[in-house]
Amino acid sequence: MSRPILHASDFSSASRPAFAKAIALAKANRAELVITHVLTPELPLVEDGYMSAALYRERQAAARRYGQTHLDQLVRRAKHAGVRARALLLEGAPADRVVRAARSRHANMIVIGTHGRTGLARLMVGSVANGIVSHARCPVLTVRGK
Amino acid sequence: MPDGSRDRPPRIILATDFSSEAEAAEAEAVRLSRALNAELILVHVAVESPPYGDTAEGGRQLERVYADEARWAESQLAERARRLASQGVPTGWRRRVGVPHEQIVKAAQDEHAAYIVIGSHGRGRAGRFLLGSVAERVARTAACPVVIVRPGDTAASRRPTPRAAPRHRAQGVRR
Repeated sequence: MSRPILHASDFSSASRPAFAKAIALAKANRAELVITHVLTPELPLVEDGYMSAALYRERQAAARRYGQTHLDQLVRRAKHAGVRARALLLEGAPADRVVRAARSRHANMIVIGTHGRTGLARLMVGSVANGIVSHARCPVLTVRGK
Repeated sequence: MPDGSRDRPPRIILATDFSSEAEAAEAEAVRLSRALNAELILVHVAVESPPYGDTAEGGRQLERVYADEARWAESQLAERARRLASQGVPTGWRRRVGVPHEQIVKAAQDEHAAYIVIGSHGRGRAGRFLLGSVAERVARTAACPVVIVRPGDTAASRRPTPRAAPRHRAQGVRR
């Protein structure tokens, strides 16, 4: 069986062209598409103190719902395009989690978007992309965002 | 999207400097070409500094060195292209002169390439932070998608790692 293609999305417009490419490649390779998003745990701080455990749990749950909803949406679009797809919601340091997920699933390729060449956003997403490219054990396809 | 939407087969640029990194990238480029029914174009970029501030004889010597390099590179490119074509992947080649990442991106533009495939050196564990600067610059400036391949990446050399990834506190929510 062919190995899956892993697409990591931050749900921004920078990830959109990468998502399209991931679908095209999954189709061409008849590969399953694993669509992943990494939630970065927030610090449990509010104003000048720690937030209550209950509030922290609530916020975490909200973040997970947000991530899962958006992932499910992408999965639906991939399936609509005729690609076998599934969602994978992860938590932690984005580049690290994506690389590990690709490794444990023996992904054939990681497909990620990079921002264009403007401003802070490029630096941030660019650094995640860089982290993925320099640590991944499989080929990484980078697609410039719009 | 460029792949497959036009009559002409899509083109894939494989940037090569004939290193082992480039060999790993070649395997991936072949796989991609087959999957997309694409044409492969090998691109090699020679860096030539102008022979300024030199004696006339020195300048002529440098020109001879560059001419030798060009002949060698062209024979290498032609040989690889023939070998790949014999494996069923239609392959052409171009030799360009200039700044490598700029020329690779320009070649992709000129050929209306759907993808660029490029190798990047892996430098052991600590060095994994250092991405090849040419590959990084290509990924940053190319308009088309870029596949970055590091040695040991190819399907043929990949095998399942027996060691499970260490579990972290921040274990993901898996569904």
